[in-house]
Formats: sequence, structure tokens, C-alpha cells
Amino acid sequence: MGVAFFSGLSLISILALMAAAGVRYGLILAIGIGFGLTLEGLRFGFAGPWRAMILRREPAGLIAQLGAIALVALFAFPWLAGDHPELIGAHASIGWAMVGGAFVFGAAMQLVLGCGSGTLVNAGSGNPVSVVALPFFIIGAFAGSYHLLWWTGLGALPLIVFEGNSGLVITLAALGAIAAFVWWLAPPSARRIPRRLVIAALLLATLALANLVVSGQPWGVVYGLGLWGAKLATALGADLTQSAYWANAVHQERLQQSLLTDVTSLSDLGIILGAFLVALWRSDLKSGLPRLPAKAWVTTILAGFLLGYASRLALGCNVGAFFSGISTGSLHGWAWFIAAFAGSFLGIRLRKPLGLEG
Amino acid sequence: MTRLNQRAVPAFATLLVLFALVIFDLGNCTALNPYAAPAALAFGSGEASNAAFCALVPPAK
Repeated sequence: MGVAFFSGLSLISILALMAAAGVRYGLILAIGIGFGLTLEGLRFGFAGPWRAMILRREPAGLIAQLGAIALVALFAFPWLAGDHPELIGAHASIGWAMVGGAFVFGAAMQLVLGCGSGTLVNAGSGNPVSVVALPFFIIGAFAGSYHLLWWTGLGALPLIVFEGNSGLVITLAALGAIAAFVWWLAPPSARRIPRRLVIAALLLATLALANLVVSGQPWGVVYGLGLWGAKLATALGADLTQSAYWANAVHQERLQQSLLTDVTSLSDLGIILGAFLVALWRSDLKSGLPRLPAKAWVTTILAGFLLGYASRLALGCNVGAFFSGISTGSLHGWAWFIAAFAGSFLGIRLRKPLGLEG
Repeated sequence: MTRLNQRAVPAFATLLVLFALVIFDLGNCTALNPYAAPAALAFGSGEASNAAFCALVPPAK
């Protein structure tokens, strides 16, 4: 079974979903596949570039991320400021649990070298570490959302959102300042941005904007994973009305409706499928599996759980909080960036002692 | 290297498990109904988002 077969199957899935559930859902699946094709095809990630910046002061990947965020912000800010009640931003308050969750997420994503989107991409392309981490990511995201209101009750600032032209100028200036700073930190030999990253940033920004236009909400990952866990828990007999989070009408409705009508679930499924298609096309699936010690697999399981749990406390992962939070003006996106980057230092240091590096 | 020691195994396993999850879910949720579908594009539709998103926290009871 080759690329043509699975590409055709993907196209049929999109069209069948449009016919069975509605055009919007087919479009969201198509956008998700686009994310997967872009992230895997152009090797655009989040955890890897942060690692490259921390260890080798190579800023290209981080600057590409900031560029993609800036491009989305250019359009998202005016849309959100206009008369469009159907659009929402990734807006959340900065709180103790939010900052702590982002720190833990940053550490965990360096352990498994996969963030929210990265774990999905890597699982789709057959990376065994991510394939093992993903089910525990799902369990963690469900558990984190189950307890979320207890954690947010520990304390948070009022919601702070940059809005309108002034908010856009502040956001673009801050993104530009960080890009200039990491460029300045880099050795001269690393001061270049490969064309593939420029193309990937343009494509990611376009897809993120398409996701906002089609679904009315920014690109996200972890809500869908938590929902998958909640549905499985319900199937096993759990009573989710005991959770203030899952008892909420919005989430009860999501539990009763199909995953195929949930925005983040569809884009998550699309990312995995898109990454799979690229791996198949490149013949990457014929690569051998790594030999890792037992403690590396135990670490992977724990890190997978922490990725899920911490990302719910952090009110998003690298996608929902960092990428979408900053690009729609939420200050919590910036707090997430700082805390997760700090956590990444810890995660990088822990990789070798935990058997994930030779 | 045998075929069982290739990345194809975990990749296909992931797809199969997710396919099974979707099928299982379809059998245990409200049936899909294209006639109740929202507008193709949220932008400009005036329909409120369902707010099922990572950043949004429902009010505590």
C-alpha cells in the first residue's frame, strides 16, 4: 500500500466527513492534514529548535516560530477586534498552576523531544518514543482537565489581553525584539535561516489562519487529547459529572457528540495522518527502531503523562498557549513561553541521566 | 533488520488504534447529522464558537 493509496484514502475521508457531518468538519480535517504535511515534510518543530538554541545557540527554528506567530497576529488581531462574535482568541489568565504547568511541559517535551504537535507528528511518522508517549499524553490531558478547576483556584491574575492596533504593535515589537536578541546571541556561522523554515513558517501561519476562519477558534492540540481520554473513561464507566470541568455544559456536549465534530480532535487526527503520509512518501517508515534502556521507556511514559497533565494546567501547549496565545494577544502565551523555555533547560539536562541520550 | 523492527510498525499501529477509537466513538455518540451542521466557515457566520478549546476554563461551581 503506497502513498497514492493513503493520499486517496485521506481525500475520501475529507469528502465523506463533509457529506456525513458538514463541510466545516471536512475542511478542519484537511487543515489538520496540512499541518501534519508541513510540520513533518519541512521538519518544522518546537522542541528541537528550542534545544538547538539552548545547546548550540542556533536561532533559526525559534525565529521561524516567532515569524509564523507574527504573521498570524497580523490578521488575527484586526479580526478579533472587529465585529466577529464567532471568533475567539486563545485567551487565558496567568496563574500559579498555569506557569508551573508550562515549566513542567517544557521539561517533559525535551525529554521525549516532542511537544503537543510534535508528539502527534512523531507518532504519525512511526517514532516509537512518541508512539509510547501518546497514550499517556492522552491520559494526562484527561486527568489534568479533570482537576483543572482545583488548580486554577490556587490563584490567577485577571485576564490580560493585548487588543487592537496598539496590542498588535506591542506583540510584533516583542516578537521582533526576541528574534533580534537570539540572532545576536548566535555565533556568526549560525546566523542563517534555511529556506525550508521560511516556507514552513508561511504555510503554518496560513493554516493557522485558515483554522481560525473555518472553526472560529485558534489552532489547538491538547483539548482534543483530553476529550479522547474523557470518552474512553466514560466508556469504562467513569462518572465525569463529578468533575467541575467535565460537568460543564460545553464539555458535556462534546462528550455526547462525535470526535468527528470536535475541532481540536479533527486537527489532531489530521496532523497524525499528514505526518504519516510524508513518512510513507520519504520511505522513513523503513528506518529501524532505536534500542533504548528500560529506564528510557519508563521516562517516556512519565513524560508523556506529564505532557498531557501539565499542558492542561498551563491552559495549552506550545500550540494552544504559545503559538495561538501570543498570536491572538493573550499575555498568558508570553508567560507560557518564558516558563516552558526555563523548563526546557531542565529537560535537556535530564535526558542523559534518564537514558534518552547515549 | 526485519520488518517488525521498522518504524512502519508503530506508525500503522497508531493509525489503527485511532481508527478504532473513531469507530468506537461513532457507535457511542449522537449520530452525525449534516443537516444540523454549522456554516462551512465560522468567519462571518455570526454563529458563536462552542468554546471547546485548551485555553478556556469554565467557571467554578
